[in-house]
Amino acid sequence: MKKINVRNLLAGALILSSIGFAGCEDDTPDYNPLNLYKTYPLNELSAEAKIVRDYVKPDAVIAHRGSTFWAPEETEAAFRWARNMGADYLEIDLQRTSDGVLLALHDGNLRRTSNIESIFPGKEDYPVSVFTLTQLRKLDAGAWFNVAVPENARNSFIGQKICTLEEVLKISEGYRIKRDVSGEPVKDMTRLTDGGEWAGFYEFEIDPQDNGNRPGVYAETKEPYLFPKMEADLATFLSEEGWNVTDSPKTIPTTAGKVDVANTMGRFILQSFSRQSIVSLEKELPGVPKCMLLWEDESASYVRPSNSIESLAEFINFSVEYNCHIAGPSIEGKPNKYPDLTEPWMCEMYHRAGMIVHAYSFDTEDQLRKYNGDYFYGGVSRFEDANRSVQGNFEYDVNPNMFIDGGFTNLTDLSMKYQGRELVGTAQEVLNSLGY
Amino acid sequence: MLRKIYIATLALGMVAASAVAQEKQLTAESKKGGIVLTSADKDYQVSLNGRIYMDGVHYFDDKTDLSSDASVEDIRLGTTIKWKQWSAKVNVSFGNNEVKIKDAFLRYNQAKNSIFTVGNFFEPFGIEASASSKNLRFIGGANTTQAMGIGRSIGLGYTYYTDKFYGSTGLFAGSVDNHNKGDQGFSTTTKLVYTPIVNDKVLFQLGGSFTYRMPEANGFNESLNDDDYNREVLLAAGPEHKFLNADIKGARTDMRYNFQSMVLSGPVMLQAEYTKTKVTRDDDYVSRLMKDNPYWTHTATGGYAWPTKPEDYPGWYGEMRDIETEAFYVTAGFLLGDNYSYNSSTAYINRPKAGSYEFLLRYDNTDLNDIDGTYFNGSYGPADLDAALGGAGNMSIQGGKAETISAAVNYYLNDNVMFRLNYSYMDVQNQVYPLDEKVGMIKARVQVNF
Repeated sequence: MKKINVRNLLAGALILSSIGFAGCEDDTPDYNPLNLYKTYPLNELSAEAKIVRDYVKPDAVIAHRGSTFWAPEETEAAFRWARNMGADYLEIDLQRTSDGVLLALHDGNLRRTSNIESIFPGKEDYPVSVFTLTQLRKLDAGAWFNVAVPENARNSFIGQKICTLEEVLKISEGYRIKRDVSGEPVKDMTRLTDGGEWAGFYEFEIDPQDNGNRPGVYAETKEPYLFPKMEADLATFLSEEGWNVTDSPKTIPTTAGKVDVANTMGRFILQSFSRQSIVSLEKELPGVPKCMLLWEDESASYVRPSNSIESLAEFINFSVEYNCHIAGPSIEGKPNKYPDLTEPWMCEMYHRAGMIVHAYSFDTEDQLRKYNGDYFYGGVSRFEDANRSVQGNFEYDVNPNMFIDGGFTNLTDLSMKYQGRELVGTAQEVLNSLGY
Repeated sequence: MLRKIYIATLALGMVAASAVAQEKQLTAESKKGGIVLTSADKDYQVSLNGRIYMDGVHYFDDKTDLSSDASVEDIRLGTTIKWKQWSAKVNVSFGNNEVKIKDAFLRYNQAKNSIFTVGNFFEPFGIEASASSKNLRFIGGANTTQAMGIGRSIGLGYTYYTDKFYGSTGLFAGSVDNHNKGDQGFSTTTKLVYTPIVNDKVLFQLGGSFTYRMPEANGFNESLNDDDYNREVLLAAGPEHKFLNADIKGARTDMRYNFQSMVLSGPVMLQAEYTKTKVTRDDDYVSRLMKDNPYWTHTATGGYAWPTKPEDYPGWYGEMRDIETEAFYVTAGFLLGDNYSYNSSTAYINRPKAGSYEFLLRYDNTDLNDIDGTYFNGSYGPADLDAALGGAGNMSIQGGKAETISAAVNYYLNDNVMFRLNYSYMDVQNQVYPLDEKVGMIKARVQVNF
């Protein structure tokens, strides 16, 4: 057997150990969002899309379902309160009755927010799409609130009705539902069913308690399989009502110093968690601002926590492709304890794609301060000091792109106070003044 | 348990050697790479064999971190005993602190070129997949081989060869790595190689292999009344199996075809293999429907029902269609200090003589994708965008795709020691790693075998 050549052995060992040493070198930054958020490839909204984006009112206060805290959600009481309080947008969830009327309701059925057990026993879990508007008008959509939120209960909430989209637009324009001397809504007998029956619509009148605010409407569409072609129905309806800004929008009189969003090109904003609905909205209502709502879950339909940066980037790129001008991520914190898709690096990515950020949903001042970045600026809000400067050495680039541009709030009053806007009164005082 | 088997077998070898020695009839002979003890009547031969692979790898990673390190990739100890027409071999690996049975078989040589084998041994499939790692030209097989080669299984095999023909076939019942979760699979594998030109100047070889397999199950699921629960085919290769990794669940059968070719001419070698894998899949939709029950909900149009029949499942989640992947590589080699020589008993190349240098280049193209849907956010939907946006699924397999160019230098110091140095450059495409495009790696090995 040939003798082992020691020199060659040593050379081999040297090669091995040098590779080992080279292996210790940290040549690549760790693959994590905090290292990549600034450079991760993203598409960007076109110049035309950015023009539409800029229709949206800056620092928007979006009244989530009108209010979920002070009044029964998505009822006339909640929307009138939000309007008079000074919200920039009335937020609603769109659904459609079996006779094709668009209305505002969050849940997939009527069990939580109405007395359906009493009126239609056995149909508590049926979706809205099973009922006609006339049938739905039999429901009390306010009494449940007095049980669920007893500290804010009011007798006048009893008998509140489910709101149609038409009613929401009218409330925004300064109207209210006309009521008779006993307080019952007056039926509009000029709008009848094919069978000559009342179709479920009410008459409107100028709201004597209207204080001049003209908020926009921010409407969420659901999965299209629940309400096929609802996006087309919405487009038709908005055009008929003069709310489609791409189709001869009507002039809505405004008052100086008051909210005037309803008379701007950003009067109506579309939002959806459903990518299928977003595609339909882009087809039916191009040129109307759109918001891609984001939720976190280990599923293709949501931002995956297991690979948040890739997943987020895919949603952003999809949003850009279908002209979603707004990202609508969830925020964490009590009471909802939602997942946090509004971290600073995430906001930087939304903004880098040219989108603005409307996060959901705010319940506390701490949340407002956190997601507006105040804690990086020594607790100073940008509404207090537009030129605020970063306090402390965070050793990374803290900048305004890391924070939100507006938010869905359950407490319009709190969000307005945070922004330093003038309040017409407390939430309760506004409700009192509206007659509730 | 493996340690015990190994120690018992090693002890048997030692006892046999000792018994021969005690009769003072022992002859010790140095053969290439080791010492063989032979009894005086030549009826018994005992040899101890082993190997050590001392490796270092450094990755020039792109975005995804890869673990550069130095390791003792393999330590192998084994014994071979031969008596008359019989032989037995046990070989156990202790690499990376894991104990694994490698070769463990009994062999009967009906004639010199007609061999029956029973035990755990290489299934005859392709060139690299049925060759020992110590004889491969590069450190480890090509991605083609890593992903779609087979390796060792427990079974019964027969091999016959002549100067121009090599045929080997076997029936196998899964690997020793079976975790006893569900029924083990089985396979039948055959390799046929024809070498029409064999002379001092040129050798030209063509061959093909085929295997039909039922993959191993991963457990039982009584609720689905399915003993074939989650049979799975995993095709994986490359750095840490990250960029090339196809995990095909719901597998029923696994068929692979391999075509091989080799040319040897003096110090020049060309070697190529093409492998195609076809995995059939299915699911127990009837049991799923029985478990789920038909579902009906109320809508304005009278309600919709899902599922109402077994076909509703593939209709929504995507059809469990067959999956096909393919890969090939071409290797060119040049020997300095020796000529390539052919071994008809293995249908492969002999180890070059001591003092030789070997220079190699390889191009590998491995495609583990079988995609017919639209990809979004870690999942596939149907090719119809609207259906995909609506949430319908698709059962495409995205295992990644890579073109890899490799270069290597081997130095055969003597019959026991060699140095290897490899460099590879991978052009990767994998939707799971969207930012990774180019990955480089340099590997070195000090290889000792006896």
